[in-house]
Amino acid sequence: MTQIFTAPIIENEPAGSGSVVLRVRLPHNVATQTRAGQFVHIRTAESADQWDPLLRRPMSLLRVDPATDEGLILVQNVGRGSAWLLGRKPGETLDLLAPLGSAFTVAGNQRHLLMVAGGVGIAPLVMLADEELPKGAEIVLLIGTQTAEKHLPLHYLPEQIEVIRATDDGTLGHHGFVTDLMPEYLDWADGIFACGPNPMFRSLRAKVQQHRGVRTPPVQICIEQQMGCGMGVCLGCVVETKHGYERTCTEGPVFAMEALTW
Amino acid sequence: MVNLATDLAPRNPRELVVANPILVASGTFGYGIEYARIMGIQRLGGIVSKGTTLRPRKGNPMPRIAETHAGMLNSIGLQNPGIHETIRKYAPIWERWQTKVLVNISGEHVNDYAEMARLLDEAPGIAGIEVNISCPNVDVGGMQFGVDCVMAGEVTAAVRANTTLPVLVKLSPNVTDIVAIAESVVGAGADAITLINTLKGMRIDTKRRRPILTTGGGGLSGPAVKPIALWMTAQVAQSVAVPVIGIGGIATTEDALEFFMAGATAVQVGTASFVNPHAALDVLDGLAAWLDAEGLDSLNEIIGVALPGPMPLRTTAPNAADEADLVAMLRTDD
Ligand SMILES: Cc1cc2nc3c(=O)[nH]c(=O)nc-3n(C[C@H](O)[C@H](O)[C@H](O)COP(=O)(O)OP(=O)(O)OC[C@H]3O[C@@H](n4cnc5c(N)ncnc54)[C@H](O)[C@@H]3O)c2cc1C
Ligand SMILES: Cc1cc2nc3c(=O)[nH]c(=O)nc-3n(C[C@H](O)[C@H](O)[C@H](O)COP(=O)(O)O)c2cc1C
Ligand code: FES
Repeated sequence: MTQIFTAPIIENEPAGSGSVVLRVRLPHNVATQTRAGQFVHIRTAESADQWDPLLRRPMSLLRVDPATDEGLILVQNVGRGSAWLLGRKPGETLDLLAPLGSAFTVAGNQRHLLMVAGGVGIAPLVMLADEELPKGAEIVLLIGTQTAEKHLPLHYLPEQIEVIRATDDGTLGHHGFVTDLMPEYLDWADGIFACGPNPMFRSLRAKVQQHRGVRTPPVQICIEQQMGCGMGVCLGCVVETKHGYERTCTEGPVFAMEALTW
Repeated sequence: MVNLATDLAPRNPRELVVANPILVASGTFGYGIEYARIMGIQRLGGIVSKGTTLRPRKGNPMPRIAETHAGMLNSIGLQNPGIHETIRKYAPIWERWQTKVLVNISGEHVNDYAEMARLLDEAPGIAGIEVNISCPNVDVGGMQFGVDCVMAGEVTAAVRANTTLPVLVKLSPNVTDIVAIAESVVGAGADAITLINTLKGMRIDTKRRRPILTTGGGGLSGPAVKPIALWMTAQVAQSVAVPVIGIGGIATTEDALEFFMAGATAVQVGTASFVNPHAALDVLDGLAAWLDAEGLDSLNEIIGVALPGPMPLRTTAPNAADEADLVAMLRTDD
């Protein structure tokens, strides 16, 4: 179902400082079949005959509405490509290659889901919550950002989940790392699903390892990595796993945490 | 519709007839199967596989790629499962394909190349071998095969001696005199020349005050390298009597036309496929439309037209005055 398509932009809404949510129209099969964790690969050159910036930029989907075929993409301004995306206006279009990569998998007996998000890493977790809520899952979403104004406005989150927020500078919620909030949920959780920067994963792993409960919930993480093709051919996106190097764009971006060696 | 079929190895009795002169470059199209799920790869003239070595290679640590203006640097380090696994896993698939598959080989010793040529000769589904000589020769302290005429010739001869398959030799642009290398490999039995591989380049992360790529430098590719690739294609096409396959920054039909006019018999689309997976097919469709619009029945009529002097495949010549200008122009080296 992976395909290249032109996605009309319906809306560009500010979503916390330095970020926007782009609402785009997706082909029907992409809207209905893309799973949380999979990503879209976006061209950020001015037009199809421009080749700079050259490479596509990988972005998660934040939410998809299968009834309207609308998809939301949360974009944080970090460099050239994302800055260009921030400036897009309704009526313009995006050149997308999607869906790509692996998705989160939730087993039938996993009812209590603990989600841990760092920064824009919240995107695939919101989509996962949207997928699992109708199946009866109970979800706690821990969200961490540097500062209050970087938090995604709450109206982008489903209402039925419990949201607990943290900021590095203490301007909102817990003052400290999002992973500090984890321990009290570790006995409750049947599974942990996380997305964020690498230091967050290291801290998350430590929390899980330090946990002395009856069982340790399995952890799936959606990692960020530099990407070229997104299709598994350039080998520019690999990550070290127990089976050797694997491609973040193809075997990932969602990996079982214990499969990664870092 | 014009007939775009062409033989890339006319000197070889086994021939390498491709349905059209638009191929995809090694390392930018995997083993063909990856893109097969999103596009009609059988329409391509040919697919050159990811570079294969005798034994599996893990490749370099990350980061392996860095974007540059209209280009990118890579130092993948030839990550691949080795020739045995490549043949076992993909040859039976390639055998069923209409498009021609060439296997790109890299070695650290002359013997590596010889052994891989022998293995490929016996394998099904392989239309030819592309020999990547831009690899360090560990026997002589890491000096590249591709920068020295004698070593480049030796590698070519070793491959030639071990297969009757069409042998294409892929040249590195990181040399003082690419024409001398081209002549040397043709003398040693190459059926065609492909060029260019990536140009050595670098980027530095000024915050960390370190190179972005773990290996320090990497290979530059993409639209940014096109003028250099075109120049080298023109140089080599004027000096050897075998087909020259142009590579480097080709993303559109217009780019490909420039290479044909510079003497290329065929082209390979590389990095552009990362950006637009359909790039090679778009080039192909655009080429057919262009020939149609120009009222030409064959690509031969434009191959090398922009060059002075006699061309092996050239059928039309510019007028004498233009010719003199062109000769003067092409000799200016600065
Ligand atoms: C699977 C996946 C999902 C992602 N989802 C989102 C998302 O939903 N929202 C969001 O804002 N960002 C997301 N990112 C990160 C996003 O891809 C980068 O922030 C973006 O590519 C930066 O591009 P730039 O041109 O703005 O920055 P520049 O720094 O100018 O980019 C230069 C190069 O580095 C690459 N690069 C830089 N930072 C990153 C990074 N953190 N990860 C991967 N490549 C990078 C770029 O792709 C480009 O090739 C995701 C990354 C991955 C791998
Ligand atoms: C990520 C990447 C991997 C490559 N791997 C190989 C390889 O294994 N063998 C080879 O001969 N060339 C390899 N190349 C070089 C390309 O085949 C091509 O010669 C070069 O990129 C220039 O063409 P382009 O500008 O169209 O990409 C690679 C290029 C890239 C970008
Ligand atoms: S981005 Fe090219 S292999 Fe993953």
